[in-house]
Amino acid sequence: MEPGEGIAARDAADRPLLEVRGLRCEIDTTAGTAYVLRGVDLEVPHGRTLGIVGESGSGKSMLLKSVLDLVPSTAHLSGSVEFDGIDVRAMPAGQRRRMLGRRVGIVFQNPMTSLNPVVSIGVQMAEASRFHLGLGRRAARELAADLLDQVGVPNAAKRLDDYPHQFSGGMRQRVMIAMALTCEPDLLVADEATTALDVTIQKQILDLLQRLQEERRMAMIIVSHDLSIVAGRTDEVVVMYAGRIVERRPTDELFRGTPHPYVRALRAAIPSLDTPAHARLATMRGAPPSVFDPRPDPAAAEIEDLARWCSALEESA
Amino acid sequence: MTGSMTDGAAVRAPYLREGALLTVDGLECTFRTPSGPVRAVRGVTFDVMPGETLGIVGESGCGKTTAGRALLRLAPAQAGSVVFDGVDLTRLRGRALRATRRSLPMIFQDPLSSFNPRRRVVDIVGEGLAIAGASRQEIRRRTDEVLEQVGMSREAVGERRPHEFSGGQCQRLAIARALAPAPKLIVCDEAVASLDVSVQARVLNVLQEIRERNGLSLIFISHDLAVVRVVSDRIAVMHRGRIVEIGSAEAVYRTPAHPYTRRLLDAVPVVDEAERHDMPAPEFVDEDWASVDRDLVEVGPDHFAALSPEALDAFRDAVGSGAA
Repeated sequence: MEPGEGIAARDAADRPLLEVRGLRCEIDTTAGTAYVLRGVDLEVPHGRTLGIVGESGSGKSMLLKSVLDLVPSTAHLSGSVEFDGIDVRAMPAGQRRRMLGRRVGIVFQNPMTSLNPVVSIGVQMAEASRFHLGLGRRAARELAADLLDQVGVPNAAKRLDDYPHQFSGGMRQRVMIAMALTCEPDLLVADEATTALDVTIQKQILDLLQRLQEERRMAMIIVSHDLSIVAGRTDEVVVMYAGRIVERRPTDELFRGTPHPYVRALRAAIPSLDTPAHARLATMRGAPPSVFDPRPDPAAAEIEDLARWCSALEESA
Repeated sequence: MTGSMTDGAAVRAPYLREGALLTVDGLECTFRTPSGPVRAVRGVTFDVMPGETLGIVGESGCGKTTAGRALLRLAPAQAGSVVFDGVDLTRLRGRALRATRRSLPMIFQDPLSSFNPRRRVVDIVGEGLAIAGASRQEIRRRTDEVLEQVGMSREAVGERRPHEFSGGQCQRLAIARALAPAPKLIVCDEAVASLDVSVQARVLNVLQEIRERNGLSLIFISHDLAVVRVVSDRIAVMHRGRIVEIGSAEAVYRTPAHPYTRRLLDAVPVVDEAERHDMPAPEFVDEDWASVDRDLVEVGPDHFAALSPEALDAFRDAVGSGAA
């Protein structure tokens, strides 16, 4: 048992599973300091689903990496990250890895780069249970077969001896999900987990994640560039822009009232299934500020500009 | 080795129209692989009128990209005919083929990998004209013209090379390059798939403006059904190498007739569930009623799907009761 876990269990009910305060990430590069996260606050309650949405470069992946301490050594982190009441950033590195490795499961976008192509699925799946749970070879294999079965891989026991290339894209992603579930995590993170998949397969995988989350009462974070993926499947959504969270709302109220101008602009740019042919999409002017901009809030002017633009757009509609 | 050899080409598909700019009839594309032949495109037939945009949608492996490549003879077609502006492209060889290809440019998903990284972007845009033997002045004038059409300029582009541009800028440069030889039709294969939504919107708008201004026809191949909806007049749905449904964008999206089309539309994630239409759901007792191998039959005005007569009845019942 990790130190602090007993205390955490006592008031686990009223404290969020993950609590991030004022998280900053600055990375030294040859082009200067990159201000990747400019102060992020975030909470994920037990058993709830949080969606993180943003365009490329907004910092959504780096937010995850910073929380899980997967950043390169040139990165400077500040701010606090508490997981189940434990101050993650104050822990010694080895202890932190052991705890997060066991209690957080991650599914990335491209299973082919996360899986080892020359090791069978069964052996790769057993790694986590042997390391974190101390299972023997046989028990680890049985657990792997059971998990594959749960995520809907047909002939699970037989397929343990197959290699990653013998699985289709959707099946490979199911293998990744099974691996992420190995240690019965409290938090499952899906980082663009369905981006590379066809729409019908994407729906299957998102349905599967939702079912597993409900059955196991896990908390879940879905990270996506696609607002529509997050829209129907989360309790709360945060929208990132230029290293900051610019909007945070319960999902079913995301578009109610007057959301942040960036959210309104983003919504207007997404084509929908009933857009008439040859309609023009609303295109926001300008681009997010440079990641190297040292001002504390370089996006302020852009956002004011966006707000005026949104108002004009909504009046003309 | 042309369409007349196969029995499929004997009957003209009911949805082919007179006066089309491009008519693809019974296109077949088979690849030999170590595990046996793969029939990537199986008897695909469609046409594109002048100034019209045809969207081709389908999931990976359905043959949409191969079909697009085969009509430009970038993939080998074993059978079928591709008649563009009165010329059968499948019969062209050598110089004549190359000359015709210039008037049928293509825009790919990843422009960076289709640009020579060591050349200046202004030269890349004008390259087609240079190969066609245009004079230096002519190339300069036309390059300025097409750069302006995609919202860029010679001054802004300067001496820069492809890697110095963002993804959205690269895609606009790819459009400029495609426009340079003043084509009548451009094939766009996943042209906006790698872009952020705000950038995607800008590129789509540029494409639409250019289409309107120049009276261009487009073939827009994409896996993204919402994007296809915005740009297309007509839509063809491909599944396992065949077209299973084709028709006006309105008809295909509002009253999808083939179960595969319905499944596809149903799986598309939407920001707001309200934008998903109530689709008529006919009951198909027999799965074979809507197999991919059925011929396409007329199910409504400018709307065709691979359905059996029984399935067609069921569909008409469902649409009728939905409207009532």
